[in-house]
Amino acid sequence: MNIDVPAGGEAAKPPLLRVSGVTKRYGAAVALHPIDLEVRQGSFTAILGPSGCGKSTLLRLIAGFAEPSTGKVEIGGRDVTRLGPENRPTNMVFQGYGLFPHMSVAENVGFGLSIARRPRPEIDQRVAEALRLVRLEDFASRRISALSGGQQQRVALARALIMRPLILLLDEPLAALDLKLRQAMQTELRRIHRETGGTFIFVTHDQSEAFSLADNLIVMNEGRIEQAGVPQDVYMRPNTLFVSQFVGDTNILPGIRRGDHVELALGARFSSPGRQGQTTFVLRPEALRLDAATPAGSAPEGTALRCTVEEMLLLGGEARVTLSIGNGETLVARLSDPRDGEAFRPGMTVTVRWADKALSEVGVAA
Amino acid sequence: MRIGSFAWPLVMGLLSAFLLGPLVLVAVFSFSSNALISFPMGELTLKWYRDLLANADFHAALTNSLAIALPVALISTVTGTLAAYAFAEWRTRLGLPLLALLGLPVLLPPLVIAISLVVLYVRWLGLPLGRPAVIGGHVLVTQPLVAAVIASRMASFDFTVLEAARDLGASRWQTFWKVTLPQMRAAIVGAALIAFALSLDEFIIAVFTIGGGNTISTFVWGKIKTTLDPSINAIATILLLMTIGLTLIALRLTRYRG
Ligand SMILES: Nc1ncnc2c1ncn2[C@@H]1O[C@H](COP(=O)(O)OP(=O)(O)OP(=O)(O)O)[C@@H](O)[C@H]1O
Ligand SMILES: [Mg+2]
Repeated sequence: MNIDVPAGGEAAKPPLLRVSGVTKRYGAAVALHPIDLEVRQGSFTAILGPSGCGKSTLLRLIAGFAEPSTGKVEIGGRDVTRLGPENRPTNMVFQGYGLFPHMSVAENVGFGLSIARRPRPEIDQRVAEALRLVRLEDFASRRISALSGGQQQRVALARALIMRPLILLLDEPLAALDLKLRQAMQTELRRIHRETGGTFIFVTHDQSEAFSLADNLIVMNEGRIEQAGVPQDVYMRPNTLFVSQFVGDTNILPGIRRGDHVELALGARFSSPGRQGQTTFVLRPEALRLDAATPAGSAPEGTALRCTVEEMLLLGGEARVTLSIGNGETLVARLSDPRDGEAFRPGMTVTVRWADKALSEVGVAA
Repeated sequence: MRIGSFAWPLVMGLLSAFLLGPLVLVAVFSFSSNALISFPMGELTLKWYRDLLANADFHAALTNSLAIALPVALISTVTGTLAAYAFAEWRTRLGLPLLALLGLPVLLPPLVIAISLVVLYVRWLGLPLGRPAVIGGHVLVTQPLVAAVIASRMASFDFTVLEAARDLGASRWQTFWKVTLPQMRAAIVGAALIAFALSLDEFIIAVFTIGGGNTISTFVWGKIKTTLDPSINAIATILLLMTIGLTLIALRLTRYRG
């Protein structure tokens, strides 16, 4: 864990991308509420959120296709807010790819360099390099219309990477591909990120894609950043109910804090100082442990409750168990080994236990 | 049932013969030695074409027609393309009504346009009639057709490529030259040919606004009024071939899809 450890010169170095107080309005409609965001050099950042939450808008503001209504965008310490896309050290892979249909693969990839008037031999050499990187060496003279979706995706990637952007922006790059191809391209993207050592920011509404690629996760909702951080932290310690529900399954546990203790509606009591009164905690299904034997009682490190198995689903690689706690509350547990699940039949009385540190407080649910 | 299935092709055949018959007759008799369209056909001859080539009035009319059709094709292609491009790029609610407004001259009777033009030129602007006047009138009708051809090509145009080009460092101008134009070229050339062909055989606006002199179509009109000279058949055949040829090329080009 080497997060935010100020170490000598490293601490003074500004982040590669800094977005401060950026908003975007379209007429009366607000697409982005004030956004603050920092991305460090070399990271692979995912912007995750439901459709219409402003992900593309944010990406387009970074790329320079739109100007923010207020606020500032800095790249490498330089204010680029008023610069057009052609003057920013960023390149974009568009959702529909935006390949030039009247040019060959090599001409597409070399377009940026020929606009920059690089000498012919350099263009040829770098095009060959870029095509090798995306494994399309044999397709240089093909027409775009004679490529599959996955191959077009790679051309778009090569065309952006050849410019050696400080930041590569990808807008739902894999959304148009089928599942198998999408997984293959995820592997490719990870490899390319590793080999180029670049900084990638990509937009997606697929949480599994965000988790499999990113080392930095930004969750957006309704034009706001709900939470940003290391994906595992966001998953295990969601700040809001929205994040908790959007990045996976979750148990929502309302409760009341009195003094230094919280009493959950389902009947557990544990120590947790904080704001008095109504509050809500969330608990991941895989944080729950089940066993048939041990009696209930408060274990020192957590909670144990007696409950009844209501339903048990075997889902290939895992088992989902729905538990009912005496007073009408239910919990969902996920067992990573389906063989464990086979031991629990509906109607059985079992003990469910969890560590108190697995609970995340998300405030009062709206 | 059986009668029905024969009757329709028969009706269609008669109708086509009625519509196309005169055209065929004109073309055939342009090579006939008869002084009138009458059977039996005389000998095969190129006399009428030779007469035409020797006719100074015909030369003047042809020169006028070309001196009008070329600028009409150029001007209406530029303005029509820019209009279609602007409407497509704005993609505003205003776009469609504006395009429809621009297309209004196509829907109006040419006679109304011709009379209004004469009134506009002579009464309001105090401009002389002549070639520039005809060019203005023709652009009015060809420009919306060019815009329509370009707009239909734009409908299948992927606008992401414009952003992609900008993102790769191209200026607006470079984007237009290197990305937009190459993809639109076929449609633009096709639209220009259509405009050229339309201007070449347009009659009503030309006859009202040309003032003195003739275009090919007014020349033919003048000849018909005085004599029934078979060289008219020759002119008609030349016009027919040019129009059909240009339109065929234009159709081929505009149907092209990236
Ligand atoms: N040019 C525009 N004019 C008006 N409103 C816009 C414009 N572009 C985006 N919006 C609005 O801004 C909001 C955010 O749009 P955005 O495209 O950023 O969403 P998104 O998160 O990328 O969604 P998706 O996952 O569907 O692509 C939406 O409500 C959208 O309707
Ligand atoms: Mg989007």
